[in-house]
Amino acid sequence: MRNASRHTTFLLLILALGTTVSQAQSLVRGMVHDSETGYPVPLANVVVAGLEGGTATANDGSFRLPVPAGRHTVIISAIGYERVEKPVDTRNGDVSLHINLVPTILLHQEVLVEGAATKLSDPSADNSLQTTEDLMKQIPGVDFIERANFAWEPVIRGMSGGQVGLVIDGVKVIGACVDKMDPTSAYVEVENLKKLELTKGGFDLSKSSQIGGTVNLVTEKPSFDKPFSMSAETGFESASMQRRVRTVVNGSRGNTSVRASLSYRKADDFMPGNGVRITNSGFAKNNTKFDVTQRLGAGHRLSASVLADNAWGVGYPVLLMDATLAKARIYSLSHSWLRQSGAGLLQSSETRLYTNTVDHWMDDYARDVDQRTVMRSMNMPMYGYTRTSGVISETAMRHGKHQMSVTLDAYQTKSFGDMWMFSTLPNIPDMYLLNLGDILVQNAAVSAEYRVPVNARLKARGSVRLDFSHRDVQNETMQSILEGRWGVADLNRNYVVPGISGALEYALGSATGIRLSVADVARLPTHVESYGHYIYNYTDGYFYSGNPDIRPERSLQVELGFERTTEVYGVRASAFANRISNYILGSSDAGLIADAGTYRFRVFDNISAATLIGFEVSGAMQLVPAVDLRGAISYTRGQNLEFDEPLPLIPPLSTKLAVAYTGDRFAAEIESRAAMPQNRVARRAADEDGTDGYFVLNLRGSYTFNDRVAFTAGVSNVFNVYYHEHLSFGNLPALGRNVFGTLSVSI
Amino acid sequence: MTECKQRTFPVVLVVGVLLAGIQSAGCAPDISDTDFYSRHPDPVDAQPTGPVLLEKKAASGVALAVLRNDQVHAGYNELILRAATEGTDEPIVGVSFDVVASTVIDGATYVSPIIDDASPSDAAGEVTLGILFLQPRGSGQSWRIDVSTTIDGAPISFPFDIVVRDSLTVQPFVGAGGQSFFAAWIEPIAPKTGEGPLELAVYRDTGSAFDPVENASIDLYPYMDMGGGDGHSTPFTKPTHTSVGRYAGTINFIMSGGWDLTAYLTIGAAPADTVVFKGFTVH
Repeated sequence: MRNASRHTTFLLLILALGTTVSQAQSLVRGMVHDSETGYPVPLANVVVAGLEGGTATANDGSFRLPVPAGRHTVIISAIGYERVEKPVDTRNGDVSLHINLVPTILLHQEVLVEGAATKLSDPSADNSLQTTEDLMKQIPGVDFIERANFAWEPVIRGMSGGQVGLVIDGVKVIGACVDKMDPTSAYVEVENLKKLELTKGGFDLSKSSQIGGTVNLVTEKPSFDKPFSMSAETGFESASMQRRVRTVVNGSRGNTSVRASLSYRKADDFMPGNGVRITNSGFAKNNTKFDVTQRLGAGHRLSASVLADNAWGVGYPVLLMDATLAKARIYSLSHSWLRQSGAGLLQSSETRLYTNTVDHWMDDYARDVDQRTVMRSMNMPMYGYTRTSGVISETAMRHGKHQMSVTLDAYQTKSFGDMWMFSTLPNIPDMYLLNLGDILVQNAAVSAEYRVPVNARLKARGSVRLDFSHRDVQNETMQSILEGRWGVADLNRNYVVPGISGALEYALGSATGIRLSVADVARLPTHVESYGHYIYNYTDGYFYSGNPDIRPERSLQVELGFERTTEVYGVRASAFANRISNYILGSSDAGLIADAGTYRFRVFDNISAATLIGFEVSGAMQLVPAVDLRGAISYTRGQNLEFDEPLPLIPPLSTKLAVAYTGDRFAAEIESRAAMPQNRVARRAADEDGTDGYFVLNLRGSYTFNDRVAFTAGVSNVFNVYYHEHLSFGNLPALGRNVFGTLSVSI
Repeated sequence: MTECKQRTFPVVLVVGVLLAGIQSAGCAPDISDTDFYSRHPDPVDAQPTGPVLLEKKAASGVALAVLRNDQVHAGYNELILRAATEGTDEPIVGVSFDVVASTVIDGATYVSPIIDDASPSDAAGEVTLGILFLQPRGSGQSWRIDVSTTIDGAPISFPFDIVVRDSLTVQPFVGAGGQSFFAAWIEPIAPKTGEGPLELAVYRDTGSAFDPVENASIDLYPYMDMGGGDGHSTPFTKPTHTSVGRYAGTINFIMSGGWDLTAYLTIGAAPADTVVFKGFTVH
């Protein structure tokens, strides 16, 4: 009954929104095709912005839509495709359109950002935010582990770390900090983010061995659109006195194009809602990227890219130490080819060779080490590095309506991490701990994805992936420690891990679709889970040792999705269930005696099974022209079946509701975000504590002076609420009231 | 004019921001000279650097040198005997030595109970000896090492007198039954991080000799005191009796630094005695 009432309200709203003007009629007619297969797209929804009614394409992809003579925007949408808006002018008669709809990568990819404006595909998303983390946080089901006011680690539906594949242009960049202070997402600033491909669940097998989702940060490349362009931006945030500048320069001549970007951010200690500034929470960061692309003709391009990122003085107030310097250098050389015309099996290919280095120094010399409760009275400088090289090659093929892409993904990474301990007390000699002793990981994988439109309503996709992983410890001391610890003759380990997924998408009509996805996938243990040595885990306060015999996590998951998009509203919903066998957690380290002090020890181990279930619903509705209502709700429930308790680091039910006005030059939004208390916590496995719920209100607006100058300003956490996210380490509070402003200029 | 200003403003702004960015890009710190970085010693350098000549004697055309890898101390030491032809320093290969080490304690002459040698001499004319010096705690103790051999049918003897300094690797103790004992740390000679053998020796002081204890059971508690009331242990296997007076197990030092090793010795039916090898450094 309640549902029927809602539907009626919706219909009334839709009817109330239209305006009818009696004018001379013209005709907009056209054809809609799939841009990849060339096949007609039936049942695509064709409407004119601001007008009632609309039509759907016929089985041959054709449509005819009468409109009043005048200027209009025709909107073509279909389930499984990106929406297209086309301006038309029918004052001089009928107009004919030929529309090629770009398929979304089947069903799960949440974000597609193209062109200058970063735009999330989720209907509830606000798109005016200024960091990569801000953008990702807009996506229902995506949360972050927050260790500082900097470099958050993404969590997708309660999964993080090695469960999630995080890559830049498909390139593996392995963090050097054993405390995970340097997630890969920190290296891509928004001015370099062209496209953020985020897949929830283990359904995208092309990027990495994962079971929780993939994040591919596709970076901007040189453009051939203009001979020369520049843009710059400066911004400020009051809660941390953060100031930032960004600039991008692009130039092209003939078949050569170059692009350079540079940004700088600096923040002081931030102020949470209680007005007490958090010491050791500032940071400074710069980021430089340089790309050059050479068109070779016949669809071939050769590109080279260098990305340099430095962050220093990064305060981690709830951790024992701060990052002195985090340094990443990412180099790649790629060749791409796109079929220009004609038919053929091969459609496109891209091969990227890459190498990158990450160095990470930490220390606690800014801390009063005699007062802390853990590892007191000692300074503990730490250093770590990774050296990664690899190749990723993707080839797309098409035969009739059958499409297939094959990806070869191979890389090698070497990791090192150590820690000195200099006691401030007399008679305690210097101590040295090797955390990662030259760990070598060599992975090679082949994956294939097959897509086919089964009929006019049904599309199918199937993916397979096979990972081969070889890993070993190369440092003799580390070998000795771990071989003795585990009673093994050598630490050389090999894995062969297969994965498979499939999805069906069914169009119920021109605006409505459902999907069913299933996957049986696995993810490889991380090098730390295999060979880490007494690495402090800030979640539970234990020192963790790697386990060379740890088994890959294996996940059997299913997802049911629903999507409906009309001219007036759009809604997307997903429900998922995931059973993970060999779930990796810490167990008591029987090899060490826990002494009377504060040290506690665990080893990475497999528990029998865990489950994750949940849902996300998001939507947007046009209240009146130019005013939208957006909302989202997401929930994940994780259960450790062996301990019969919740899994750790599971976000609570959270919601977002916003009203946004978008005018020609002025845009404004009022947004509320809320989270329920999280009392389902992993007390036994992780000594996790509960978290109170919160409600915060954000305001933001922007004004575009002309095509070149724009100003954005706002206030987040308007009521200065003191709260922390459940995934904040050490209950690190969130920023308090934060007034921000951004001025951007382009030429 | 207005149009010119409209064009100039964004260009100036963009160039200004660009210059600010370029300026800021160079400000990542060079941390190679920060305090902690320069304090990083190379753990490999902390190892002994090589043999040092302790004493050299010659007799019957043979020169015999005693070398050590570390200062000779109470407990188990590795000494090197190097035999060469006097005058030419040509190594004498394939020769074996008889070695007796003795000292006088309270008027009684005690003989070292353990002398492990790797005879015969190698291509460099060298033989490595493992000698256990058991002695009371306190100042250095004088020892006599008699080395004898036969070369070309002629017997040759070399007496060496050395002073053995005190060391925590030998722990004299009075057992629960009232008898005097020595517990000695045999291996590792130079403890280092990682898994390795751990060997202890237990001898009873009869008043005139070191008598091996063959019926001890030993438990351990290795401990690193990290200060501030904190510390931790490390994995090990309990030493078990292997040969005359000797007990072997394994220990896996998970990190370098200062360690204590407490041994709980149960000898026969007597209650357990506690011996602490305190403050040794693991590299």
